[in-house]
Amino acid sequence: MAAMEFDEVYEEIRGVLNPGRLKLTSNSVIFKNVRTGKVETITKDDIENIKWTKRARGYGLKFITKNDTSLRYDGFKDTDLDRLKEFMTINFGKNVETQKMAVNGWNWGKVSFGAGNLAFEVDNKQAFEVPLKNVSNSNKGKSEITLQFHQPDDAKVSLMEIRFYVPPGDV
Amino acid sequence: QGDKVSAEKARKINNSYKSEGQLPQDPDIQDLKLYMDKRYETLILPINGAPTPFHISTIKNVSLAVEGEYIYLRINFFHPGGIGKQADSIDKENVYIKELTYRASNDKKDDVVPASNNLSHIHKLILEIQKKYKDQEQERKQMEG
Repeated sequence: MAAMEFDEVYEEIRGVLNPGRLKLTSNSVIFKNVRTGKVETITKDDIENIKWTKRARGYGLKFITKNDTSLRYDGFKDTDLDRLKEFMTINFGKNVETQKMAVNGWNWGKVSFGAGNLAFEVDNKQAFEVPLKNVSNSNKGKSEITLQFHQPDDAKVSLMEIRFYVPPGDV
Repeated sequence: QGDKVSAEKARKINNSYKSEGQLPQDPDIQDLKLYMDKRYETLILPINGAPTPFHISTIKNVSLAVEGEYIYLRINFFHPGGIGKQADSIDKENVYIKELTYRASNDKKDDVVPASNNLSHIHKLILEIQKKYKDQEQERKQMEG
């Protein structure tokens, strides 16, 4: 396999799905936003690891780079996984790690930070991530943390604010 | 207040789904809108591209506000930090989501219906499913005596 191309891929940015094309070559990952024409390239040597998760729009591939940033592309079908795995193993020497999503519907869990994201994990599975660059303002109360988000003009429905209750004594 | 604490403790832990394959497929979910899965009594919220389920029993109350050209939906969740709760009875290992607020425009723009319709529709459904859930719980308690 010399290269793979996906024509219906989406990059989610602050509640907006940006359609684009994803091209995987033997030494890089290239995403072109079809609306803005903006191109993102990740070279294979920059890839630390690759994750596969259920997303609102199909399945998503997440590339975590060696300088600790995350790039996420959604809209894949579950049947794409096998050939993606094969491609990444052969060309990038990386596994695609399947990350199970928390679906038990609880509002309590654990918060962790990594690769520019705050992750909320329920019962040891990830429920969602918040890219920290989306946070416009944060407040820490006595046992409460509030995160407010940048509001894009083109989002139909957007998340304004998350408020966490942090039990006293917790760090 | 004592009654309130014991009621909190007695709260049943409900699970929405067993696996991600059970998550519904719906155009609203795909479009990063809010969605109510009536069958599983679960609200599915878009959080940065993840369809995040919340069982109806985790939701304390919900409010809708109109401000200028926007509609705001605020969802409050149960958490152990209310007044009169014993601090030592709290599971300190966990962080709780206390509140989520969504915003949508009233403006039709190029769509047939304004995006805010999604929030007002979901507001109505949350109240409906919450009532149904509470009635069932009441019934369950009476059956148990």
